Amino acid sequence: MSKTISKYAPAKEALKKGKELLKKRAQEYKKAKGSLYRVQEKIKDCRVDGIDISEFESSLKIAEDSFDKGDYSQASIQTEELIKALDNIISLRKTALKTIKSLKIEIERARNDNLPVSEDMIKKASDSFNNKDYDKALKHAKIASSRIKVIKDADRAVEDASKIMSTGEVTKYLAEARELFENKKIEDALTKAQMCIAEINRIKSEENPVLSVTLPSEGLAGKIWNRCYILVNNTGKVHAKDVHIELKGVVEAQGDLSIPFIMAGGNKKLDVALKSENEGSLPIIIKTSYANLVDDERSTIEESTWLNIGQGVGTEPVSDGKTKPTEPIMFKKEYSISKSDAEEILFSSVDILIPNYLDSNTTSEIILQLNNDTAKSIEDIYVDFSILERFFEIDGKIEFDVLLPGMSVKKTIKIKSKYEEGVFPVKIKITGSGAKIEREYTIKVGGTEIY
Amino acid sequence: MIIIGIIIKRDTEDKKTRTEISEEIKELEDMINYAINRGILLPEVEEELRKAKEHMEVIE
Repeated sequence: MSKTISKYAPAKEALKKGKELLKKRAQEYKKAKGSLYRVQEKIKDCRVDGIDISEFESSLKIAEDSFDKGDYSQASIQTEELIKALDNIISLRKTALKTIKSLKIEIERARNDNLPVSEDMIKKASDSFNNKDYDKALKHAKIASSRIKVIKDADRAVEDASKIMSTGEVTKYLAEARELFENKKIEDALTKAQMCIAEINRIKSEENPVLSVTLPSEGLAGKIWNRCYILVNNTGKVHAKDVHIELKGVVEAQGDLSIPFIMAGGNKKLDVALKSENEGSLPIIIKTSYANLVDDERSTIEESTWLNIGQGVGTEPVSDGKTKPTEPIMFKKEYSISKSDAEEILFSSVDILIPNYLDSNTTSEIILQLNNDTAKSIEDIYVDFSILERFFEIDGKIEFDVLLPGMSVKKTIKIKSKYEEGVFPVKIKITGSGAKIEREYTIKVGGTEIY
Repeated sequence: MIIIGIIIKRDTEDKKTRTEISEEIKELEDMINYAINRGILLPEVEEELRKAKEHMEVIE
């Protein structure tokens, strides 16, 4: 039996090998055919996208020849390499296009933010793209994008910095950067913008608020309460917060000796009453504690000074036992923005929602909304309801130390008519940084409601 | 009797094997033709088929 089998063994072996080879060839064929189909589809896509594929045509021909000759495995290898190369160029083109589109949006946004950018910045990238040099197009687009970013970063850094520090010097750098940018001195502009950011970082890490306290030098009487102002100056480059003043020595102080915020280069006055049982030149110690707005670190300083208390000057006790204040000793406050700028900001920032009709004996609300969309701060904001107070009882008051750039704040006060019926023209005055604006309203009380 | 039995059995098996191989040759030929008709070239497979046929011709 084994002899019979061995006689046919070579034929069987050849058939077995033939079948195996057939299977292998079929797989190779299928793979090569699939790859060729894919590469042809990719080439079609490239043509639609306007990609120049001339450099790949010879490679495709070689792969097709291999296939036609029946060298399927070689055809597969050559086709896969071609697919990889085409994928690379498709992806590069896509990335370049996306980057250029983003760059256009960035330029548009930057322009809306009044940044000195122009279409020129995109020209090199667009030209390279149109010349089908996607690699170069991407490179130029990235460079342009990073340039816009530096200016934008500097702009944002200054805006953010204004919330914690004086931005006088850094604003100067930024203005110079913008000017250089406009004059197409891009590299110099970038250097200035970077200097601007570096200076902000330096101030943040190295500078502190510098506070000094000034007491009235004259006009204080002995043995009675004297109403006066204590001036607190911040000559540092960083804003101060949570400022507390304490007077030590033969003098007493009444009133609020705390200040929530003093901007760099700014000052705040404390409306207080001082009294000493002694007269003459008296040594006192002023203890000032405050926090740095950048890092919340608290500091305390103590300084010795002299207070002059003279006889017969100041306030006299009145019959009800309270004191009648003398004319306060005023300090002229310097604001960091001009009066006209402050007026303009107040006009655009203040929104008052006031009822035009009130039932008698009911309480209604006045809502005041402040949105500072400008790049400047307004200080000492006070809303004066004194005219309204003639006709209405008012519960609440509205005042803010500062309205920083980008800050938004809302405050509500309650009003109730003092009269059963009437029509009342009222004015609301809003002051800030030494400027004043007025809003006029008419409120009807009782009778028929008006719409 | 026993010897005759074995010879008869051998002839039967031999015939069966030849038939099987012939069928396999036919099957492979069909597959090759099918592939060629679809443009698939199979020179190595054709070579193995030729070898198998050659062996069978020698035996016959």
